[in-house]
Amino acid sequence: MSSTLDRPALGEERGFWGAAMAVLRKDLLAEWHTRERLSTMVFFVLLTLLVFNFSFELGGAALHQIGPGVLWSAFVFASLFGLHHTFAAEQENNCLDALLAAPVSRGAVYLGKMAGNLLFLLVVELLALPFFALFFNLSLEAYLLPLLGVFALGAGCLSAVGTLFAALCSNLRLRELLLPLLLLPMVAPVIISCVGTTAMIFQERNPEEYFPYLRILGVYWVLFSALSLILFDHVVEE
Amino acid sequence: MDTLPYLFAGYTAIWIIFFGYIWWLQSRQKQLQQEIALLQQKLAASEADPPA
Amino acid sequence: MSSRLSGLFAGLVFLSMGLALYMVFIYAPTEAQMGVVQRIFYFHVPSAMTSFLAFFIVFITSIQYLRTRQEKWDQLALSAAELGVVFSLIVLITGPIWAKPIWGAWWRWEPRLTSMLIMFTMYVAYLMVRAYGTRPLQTRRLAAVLGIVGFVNVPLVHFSIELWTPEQQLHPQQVSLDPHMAYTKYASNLALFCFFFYLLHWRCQLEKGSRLLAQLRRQAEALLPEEKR
Repeated sequence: MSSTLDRPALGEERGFWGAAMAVLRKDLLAEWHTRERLSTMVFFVLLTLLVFNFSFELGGAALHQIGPGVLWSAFVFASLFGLHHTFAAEQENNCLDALLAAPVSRGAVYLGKMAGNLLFLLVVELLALPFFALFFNLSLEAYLLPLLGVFALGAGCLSAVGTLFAALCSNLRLRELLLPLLLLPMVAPVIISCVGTTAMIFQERNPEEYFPYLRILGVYWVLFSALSLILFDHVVEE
Repeated sequence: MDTLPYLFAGYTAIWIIFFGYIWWLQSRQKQLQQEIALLQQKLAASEADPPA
Repeated sequence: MSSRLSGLFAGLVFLSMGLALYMVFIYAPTEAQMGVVQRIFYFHVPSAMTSFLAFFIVFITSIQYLRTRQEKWDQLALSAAELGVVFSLIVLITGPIWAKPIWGAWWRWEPRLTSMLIMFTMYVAYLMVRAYGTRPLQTRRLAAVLGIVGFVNVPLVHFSIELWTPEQQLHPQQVSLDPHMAYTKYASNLALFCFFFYLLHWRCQLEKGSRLLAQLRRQAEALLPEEKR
């Protein structure tokens, strides 16, 4: 991976945003070569939708009530896979140490990782949507734009906190168990707001009605991105 | 409706939790004191019989 | 704290608790609508406030620990987190016991109870991270991060649930209390706060002792010869 994280030329500083972009590019390229994270996450979402279908016998009026919850539950669980992977691969090859030793700000590493998680999650959400519409007989063309908005916000919030917690858990025993235990209570406001908004979108309500939820998501994203940026240093230091 | 049983249950739960925690603190403290005593014993034994 | 001061404080806790209990069961009038079970309120609400205080202390001490890396902040954080969980548990158990005769159900997904439950799970997870960490210094750092992030999440949890279930505002929002009831509430608040600080101090001392012991044991193992162990 050293070719993608080229050492800057003598005297040339990579800068904060440049470093973040470099980390992002590295992760995107790695994913492009293997496509393992994306495919696992998408497949997991599909399986979850299937399981929920058996569990709740979705159809008709019930769908509009339960559908958004099913969708976002699937996304949250899939994100746990993706987040766990954020630092798992780095640890295997001791890349994390190299990354941290590089003359880049730790915050830039966090930002790059977060952007990567956000993009992966967003792609998974978008890929899952047509299957959701298919399985549950919905025509979602009318809702596409607002859905995109809430998907982006949801992905942003989940990545902001998730990236920090993934880094945190990567240092602990039982990391696979602890990440969900830590993350799920933390993202409760995100789940509530996303499900609430999606439900209102399906019910074709006025955007004004779900604006309070969007505001919570916005505040959450900004607040926890900023907080994670500051705290990331403490999480990864040796 | 007589709600007295619920009142009793409520306060019993409170005291069980409080005394449970206090009991746990006590047992940890005892354990700590036992280990200190053990350590002191070892140190005393070592001083009485210094290594070659 | 010297043992004399400690003894005095224990006396204060005993007295305030005695006073509170007297006021809860004798002095306060029985509420007209709910009957005697309403008296749970006098420990239920102050416990909630105490747990919030505890988690706020975790928040502040976690920040201080990350800034200064002094042990005392970390010891306080751990102790406060444990106590916060204990007091939250009291809220979560007395709440349903009170609710069953009044609302007719053990549990409702309404804002305050749900927020409390989520807060409880967050800090239980905090304690689990503490328990399952392998390297002490690193675990403390990570726990401090959790202590900060967790507390910041609390208002967001509360607001999001309020939006979600506005019709489920089963908790009375603004209660104008009969003066006797108000005094009783102050008394039990005082008693629980005193009790909280007493337990906090005890737990902190215990933690300090425990760490000192671990350090001494390491030193002893280095000094003592192999066959003596």
